[in-house]
Amino acid sequence: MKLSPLKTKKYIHNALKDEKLLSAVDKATQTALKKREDKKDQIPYWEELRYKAHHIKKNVIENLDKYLEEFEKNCLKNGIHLHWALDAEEARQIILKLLRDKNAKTVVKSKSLTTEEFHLNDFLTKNGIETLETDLGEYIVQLMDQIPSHLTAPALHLSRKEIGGIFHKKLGIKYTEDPTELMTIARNKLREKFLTADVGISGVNFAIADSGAVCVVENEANARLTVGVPKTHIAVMGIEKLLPGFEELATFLKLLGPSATGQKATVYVNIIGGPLFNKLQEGPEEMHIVLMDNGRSKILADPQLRETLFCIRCGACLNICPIYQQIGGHAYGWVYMGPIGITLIPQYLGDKEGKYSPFVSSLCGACYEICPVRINIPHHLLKLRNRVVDKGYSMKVERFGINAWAFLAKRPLLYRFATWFPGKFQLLLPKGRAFPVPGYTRERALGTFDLKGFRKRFLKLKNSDYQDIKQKK
Amino acid sequence: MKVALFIPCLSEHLYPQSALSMVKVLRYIGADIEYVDNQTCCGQPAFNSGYRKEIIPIAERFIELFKDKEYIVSPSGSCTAMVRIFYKELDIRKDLIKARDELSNKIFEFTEFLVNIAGVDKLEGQFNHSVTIHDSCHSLRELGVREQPRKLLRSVKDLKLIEMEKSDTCCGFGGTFSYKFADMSVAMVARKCRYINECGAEFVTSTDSSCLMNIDGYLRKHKFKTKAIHIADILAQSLNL
Amino acid sequence: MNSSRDKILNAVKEAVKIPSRIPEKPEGINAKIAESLKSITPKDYAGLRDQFAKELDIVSGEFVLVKSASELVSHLSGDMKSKNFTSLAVSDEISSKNIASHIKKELPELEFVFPADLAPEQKKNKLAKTSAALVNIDFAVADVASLAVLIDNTKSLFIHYLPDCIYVVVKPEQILANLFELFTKVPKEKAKNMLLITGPSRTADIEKILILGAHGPRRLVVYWLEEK
Ligand code: SF4
Repeated sequence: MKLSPLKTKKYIHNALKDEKLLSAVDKATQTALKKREDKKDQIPYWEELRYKAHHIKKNVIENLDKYLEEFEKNCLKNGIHLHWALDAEEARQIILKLLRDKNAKTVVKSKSLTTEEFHLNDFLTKNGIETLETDLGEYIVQLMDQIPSHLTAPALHLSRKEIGGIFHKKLGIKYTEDPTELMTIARNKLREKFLTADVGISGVNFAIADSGAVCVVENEANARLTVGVPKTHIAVMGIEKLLPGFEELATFLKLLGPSATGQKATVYVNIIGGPLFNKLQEGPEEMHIVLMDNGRSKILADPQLRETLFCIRCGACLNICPIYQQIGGHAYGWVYMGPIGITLIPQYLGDKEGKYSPFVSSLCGACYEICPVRINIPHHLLKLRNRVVDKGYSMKVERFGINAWAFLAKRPLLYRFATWFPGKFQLLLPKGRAFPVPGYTRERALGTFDLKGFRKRFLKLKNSDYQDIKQKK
Repeated sequence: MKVALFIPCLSEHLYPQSALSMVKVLRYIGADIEYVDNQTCCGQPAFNSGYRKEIIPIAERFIELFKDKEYIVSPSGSCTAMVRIFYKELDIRKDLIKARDELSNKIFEFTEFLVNIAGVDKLEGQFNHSVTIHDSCHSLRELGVREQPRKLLRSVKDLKLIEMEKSDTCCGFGGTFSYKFADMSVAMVARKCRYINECGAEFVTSTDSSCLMNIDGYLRKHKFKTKAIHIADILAQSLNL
Repeated sequence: MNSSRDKILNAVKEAVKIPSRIPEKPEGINAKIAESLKSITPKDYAGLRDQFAKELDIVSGEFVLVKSASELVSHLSGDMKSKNFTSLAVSDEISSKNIASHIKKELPELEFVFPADLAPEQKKNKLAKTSAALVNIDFAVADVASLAVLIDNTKSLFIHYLPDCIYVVVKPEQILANLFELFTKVPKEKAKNMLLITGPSRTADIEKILILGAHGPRRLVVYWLEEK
């Protein structure tokens, strides 16, 4: 399924007409929000923790070079092979080469949004390597030939009927829409694969600089099986995922569970600092980490927007977003969606391809209020909108209009005259009707222009009644 | 207490009555009111659409007009936020930076001014209706205005304050968003109006004319019984001003 | 030299030279957190234990307080019997093996699986087909009901997640108040290979409906062994 953020307007239009989608997304986001609220309330120092997390990330990002070098050093000590990938293509090639070296036929994968950035599944499949997503939600969207529609709940847009349907069609099983049965089917299919796969590929939630370890957080045990059973483990991460040490990790684990799924703690927190076969006689003999830039160092170069690199992909901003709640994730047209997605789209894909994305927001700021790492998303959207405009990607008419308006706004007399016009113009319309604004007035009445305006009324008032206004005794 | 009025575009041209109500209430609590003539727009619509260079002269003009005032009060939370918060994002003339930073400490949304600055915690008016309040996003999240309007409304005799579900969810206006993504914006205001309707209040109020215009537009077009009303109007009416 | 490495690091080095325009945190945050943590943390051992039990219940784990090893053995045997389990994997610690030897008396039919005795290839397949496992852990974290397993010696890790039902033996001295304490207490050399487990595996990927037993265990039973 090929999506493009340039078509976001059309996608939104379609999504809004899709009743099934609306009810699925609405229900899922409300459930997640309620659970979050409950868990958050049990942590009275929640707001302080958000500040702390923000501060930790700020320090990491501002000293990222040092943390990367420290991480590299410690990974090598732990016997981990580190690979640096400048961009998506290089990351793909590194992984393909590793798989070829291992003569890998089957790969099990646990959730990694980073690998979605470079469509790893498609790429490996085209190269003849069976690649299986193992997180249930990811497995479902892979069967559907879709991409995840949420950062932490990939199949949130689908109903159990749709899921039952695709299981029936793709796996050749008897139709069922019972969630437990569906899970069992996936479990049995994938158990087999876990035990025979040559390589496991995982994402990374946090990487610990002072220890050369990565942390993978999950509920299903699919990541545990991915990183713990096959002979080779490849972890893929963006360079921004670092934390200084474990003390900081504790802060983030506290915030992540409630924000993501409304759990105090996720079921498994896997901390992996090197292959352990020699110790345990089980699991990986080799561990590789692919450290990917793919535009992140460019984001880092902006003194303000670098804050978007703090994101821990919890998905809370999606759940709270009054837009996401009604359209789901695919309407944004890329692998990152919702409020954080629309800040990332222009930054990763360029302001031209992402020229509409930062505008898919009413700037209400609910995302900032909920974000566990306090990313000021609305402010970043404003900055990104400015970039679109300054690069000349805004609409000509709009630019012309704004310039004309700015010309007037500096000249109060002219401004008054110009803004008096619509009121007069309105007189030509049937009584009580406001003139239409495209799109806006289809479902909404517009207020009527007041012919005098405040200024005139006030100046008049001042002379007579103003003095009469009762004053408090 | 000297108060200079900052009357945003929507208040000037569409809702002058609400701005007048604000004047009356301010006057009632004993403020000295001044209207700074020659004020135009703060530049918010252009800023929110990504035009920054273009509004620098407008912002500079605004700062010069208002810089010597003691307090500046506005019936709109979002325009107040524009001046207080977002002017700091603009590369304005160096010599105005100090004035701008001072300005951000002197400009207030109406209810915020009444409660935090004028120290009003009670208005002895009477308003025999039920009212629900929509938290305007910019008032709430940029200015931190949540309790102030509630406090004032609670002090009005016979006024029944009903909280709607999700009072702090966006009404979907978002300035140019409302026509750039019109169907999205409509879906949002539709949901907002459903919550408003469900709570059963006669009036829905807010601290921002733009949200109210959006909500009112949908309520009227779809013939809901609830009426949108600016909080300044409620307060002025309750005091019989 | 890996040129991508140098390119990335150089780009990062250049980028971080630019000062941020990002707000600082307010003063006194750490002190407030510490104070707040103190105020919500149970004061004594019994409080922590009860908190652990309550939180474990919330995450659908089972908490069984036992006062002696023999009480543990009889409860565990009874449970296995009622579930018709046919095999039990036993972790490599002496204490587990001791318990296992007593279970054997109660359930002579039961097959016992000792991971250390299995060849690497065999190990995963065997453990994946074993009904249950008897395991030890290193720490129990009270405020979230997490169990911490330090992977620092030769004991099997498969045993914690391949079988369907996990019986964990926890001792009072293993209790810690919260994650902050855990990561302060465990030196980083040990923390770098660690598994935290909070309840049985689960998913809510289909219409947010909670299903216990995703790709890992369906049950997690904690025997809290309070010997005098
Ligand atoms: S921006 Fe914040 S709320 Fe949104 S996914 Fe990232 S961390 Fe979570």
